[in-house]
Amino acid sequence: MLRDKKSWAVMAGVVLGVSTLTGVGTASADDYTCDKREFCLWENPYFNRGSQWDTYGFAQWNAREDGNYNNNKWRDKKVPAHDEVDVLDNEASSARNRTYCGVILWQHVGHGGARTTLYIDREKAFLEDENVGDNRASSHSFVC
Amino acid sequence: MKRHVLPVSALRGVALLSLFLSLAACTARTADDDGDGGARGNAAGGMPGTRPPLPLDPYSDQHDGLFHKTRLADDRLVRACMKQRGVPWNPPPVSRADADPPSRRYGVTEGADAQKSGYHPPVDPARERRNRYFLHELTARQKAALDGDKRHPGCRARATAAIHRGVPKKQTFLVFQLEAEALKKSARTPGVRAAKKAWSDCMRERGHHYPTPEAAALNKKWDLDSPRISGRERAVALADAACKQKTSLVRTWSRAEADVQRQLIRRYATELAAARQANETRRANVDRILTDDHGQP
Repeated sequence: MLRDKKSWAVMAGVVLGVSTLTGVGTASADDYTCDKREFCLWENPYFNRGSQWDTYGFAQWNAREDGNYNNNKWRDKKVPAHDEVDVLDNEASSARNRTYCGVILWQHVGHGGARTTLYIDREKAFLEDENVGDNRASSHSFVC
Repeated sequence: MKRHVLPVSALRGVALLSLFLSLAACTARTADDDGDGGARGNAAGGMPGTRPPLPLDPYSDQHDGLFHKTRLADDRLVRACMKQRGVPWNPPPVSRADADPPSRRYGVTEGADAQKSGYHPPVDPARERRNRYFLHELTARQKAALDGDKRHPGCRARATAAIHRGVPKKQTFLVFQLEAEALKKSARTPGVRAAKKAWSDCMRERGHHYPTPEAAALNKKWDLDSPRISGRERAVALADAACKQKTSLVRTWSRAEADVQRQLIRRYATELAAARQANETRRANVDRILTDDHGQP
């Protein structure tokens, strides 16, 4: 659901072909769009569309799995990276996969709990239903 | 987690719950009546933490091999397309372990998994090899063939279109949300809380002080971003798995979760029917692709 707070768009950029495994990367353009070969998460449902905050914030990784979203923060292009405070864990509300691989989203860190597959070039949004919650993802892995 | 909204409306289903308890017992007990708490590995490859079946499983995109079949179909289509375009293409095969993927739904539940991986995500070497090929080793020519252009769809898009023909591009995370909600809500039931207390007591007897299995898994000393697994992490994970088995925590938890899932299935029957239909449409596409002689849809 859209919250009464700043929305953050997150582009978890998975830049294929880059061989570094050094965490937050810089290879994708910081254009706040989900480009080809990127895996993207947004904090609000439906990709922040219709939100006045739809261009804010992103985070990106080079091509690597992430076993713990607690170690990542949502990005906002108006806020310097070192000032970011909002942690990704349990905050993603919609996702798009434009990589060459499937992405598995996990409920818990360490690839545990419930899981779902985000197939290639597919997008999914969480239901805006307070009875089931929309903030569930805590880690992801790839299946190529 | 910013907030969790209590599923208040779930209370409306309580009156009906008793009608489904017998069904719940039938389903939830299918896999763990042998008394191992459902914490055994699968017969095919001994992958960690294969869990008991749950009522939402038929709605999942992993049900009845669909996840693995989809990957095989995708692999077949892309190979055929790349060959047709004369582009060298030799990725490692799809991992057979993905036919029955490991699940740590209730955390680390098997000693072998704990010893090998601690609380780190389990690593499947075959999957890692294939991931590396796609994520790090593709040539510019291969990427161009996969990507295509505006006038000539790439091999990637062609395969995806064939597999998902008739499936809405925009889907919801409904099944994932419901499964996550059921897991979380069932953890708060008296039975599971008592089992976790017993687990904590068991851990304490072994020198590890954690109130819950989640607290043990989330110990910040385990650096999940690093491949290094400490001896301490392994020791705690081993004790964790042993105590889960000793206290039948997984069995208790899965039964409680099954009860919650049944309530959710009733409440979201219409939406779940759509999710199931999407899976069946994809399954039909995939079966057709896998039986086609030429690897073309």
